[in-house]
Amino acid sequence: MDVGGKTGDGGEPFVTLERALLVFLLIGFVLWLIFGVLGYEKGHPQLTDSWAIGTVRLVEVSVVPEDRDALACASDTAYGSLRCRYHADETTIDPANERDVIQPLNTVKNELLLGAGLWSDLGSSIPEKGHRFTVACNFHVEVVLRSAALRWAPHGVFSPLALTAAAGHLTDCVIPK
Amino acid sequence: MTSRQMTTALLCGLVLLGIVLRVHALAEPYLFTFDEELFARNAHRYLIRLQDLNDHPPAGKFFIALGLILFGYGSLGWRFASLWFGIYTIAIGYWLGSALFRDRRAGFFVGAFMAADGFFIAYSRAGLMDGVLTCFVLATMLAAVVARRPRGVAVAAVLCGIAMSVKWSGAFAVFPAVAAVWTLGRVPKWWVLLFGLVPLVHLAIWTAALAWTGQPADPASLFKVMHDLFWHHVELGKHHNGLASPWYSWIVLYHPIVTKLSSHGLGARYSSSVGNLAFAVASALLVLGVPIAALGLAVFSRFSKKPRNVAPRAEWTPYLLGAFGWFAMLSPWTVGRGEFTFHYHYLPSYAFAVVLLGGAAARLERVRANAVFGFVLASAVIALYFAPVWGEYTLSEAAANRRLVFKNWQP
Repeated sequence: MDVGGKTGDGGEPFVTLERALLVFLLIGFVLWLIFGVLGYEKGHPQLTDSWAIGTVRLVEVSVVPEDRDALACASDTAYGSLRCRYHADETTIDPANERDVIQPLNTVKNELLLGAGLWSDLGSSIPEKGHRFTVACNFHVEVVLRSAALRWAPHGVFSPLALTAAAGHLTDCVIPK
Repeated sequence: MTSRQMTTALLCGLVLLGIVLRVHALAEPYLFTFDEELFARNAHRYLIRLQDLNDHPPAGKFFIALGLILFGYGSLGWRFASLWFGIYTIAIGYWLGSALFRDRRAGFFVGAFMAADGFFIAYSRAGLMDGVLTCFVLATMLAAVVARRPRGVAVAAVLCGIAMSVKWSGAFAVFPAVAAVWTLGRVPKWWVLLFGLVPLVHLAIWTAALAWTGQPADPASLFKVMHDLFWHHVELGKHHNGLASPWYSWIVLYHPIVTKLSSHGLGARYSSSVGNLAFAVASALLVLGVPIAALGLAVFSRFSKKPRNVAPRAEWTPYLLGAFGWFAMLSPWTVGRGEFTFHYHYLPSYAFAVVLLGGAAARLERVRANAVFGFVLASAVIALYFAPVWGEYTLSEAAANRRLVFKNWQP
């Protein structure tokens, strides 16, 4: 159907309904490709939305040695080598390597991440029990995790993640003097 | 390189910048901002066939629901329609400017100006309905301007009916559309009767929405829904809201709204609806100046005995149509809503002002190419300066306040 046609003074046509609809659909399709097929959302955790997969962040977390066992996540899904300490039904997973066990951590800027390898990286430099300390690490954003539940106390309740969060390995951890 | 070529390069840059600023970090923050929750939740209710609890007609939420189908019930899903229609508005602006002024150069100016204006950008980035409404209003006008057959006028009427079904204020697009059909002389005048389709389309959309959600959809029930909604909106006029601003203040950017704000580490991200100052000022002068100048010239030529070198009436018509469109879309907010009016109500009206500005820029370029290049260059510098607070780039509060300089511009 032609709703455009020639201009009144014999000029060229400016737009037809078909062309206008085609451009509309084309814009929608290109946007769908950009956001959908390229997986825009999957590459950006919702809780720390600028931490794209593949980036490395310097993070600073405040913990006590008891957090090594207290902070935990529960999920049946393995993310590469990364996995939680507990199954979704909250039964324990026997970890093959503690370096790959992710646990929830809050940075001093109140950013939630699921990091693995904090304690093994610190090794013998972990302070005595009961002493709170801050530790700075490189956080390698490897996956965006959605289906997991988090626990923040030794026998606390696991609460499901409301928004997606970044997970990955922590390396080069140092306790600032 | 001539001034005209440099202007062309700048206009291309403005379009590119506008698209980047619309797309950048669209899904962030992953939370409802401003009024998004009102529309997104009810769009979702349509998908699960529950009653719409929002106080606007259904069509806008249909489009938001389309985004939810494509991307799920998340921030990208409920903002996708705004982005889609927001980018399409640039194309509509190009076609409308080209067709109205019979000059593709005018269309190019209009499209680029709409692309690089924070008012349009902000409503392309949020799950709100004003960008979608503006797109349908301009599409109505475009269809009316290019109509050569009855079906063309009918398409304009259907588009106006959809605009009205996004927000009732969209119905006012019928006035510039009728004026275009009537004055441009491209079709027989009596074809304006086809605009009688507008309310029929509106009623059909609303009836379908009620039936889809299992509500009584007979004419009496529909009338009750619309009657209650009308009085609800009248009642809203008695409410006070800190973000509200009177209609006469919109033209001077008194209280543009920050539609999205999120903290980001030590900084924050803003999506402000403050427009491009170059376009806002120039278009305001035009919409007020063109009718006054046209009236003055008409009076002058009527009583002057000496023949004057005045542009023929046909050359004034597109400019007057643009100014009339601006006034028509502004008019519902001048009465009946008390204090409950907001800067975003101005968006469809402002779109007509930008169309007028694009036409004037193209006309002026024929005789003052350097001046138009200077204007476009200034607008590009302004766009680059405001880009962080239009497109949600992380910056400190101090840096944001250097751009949002007035207290009423800040969140």
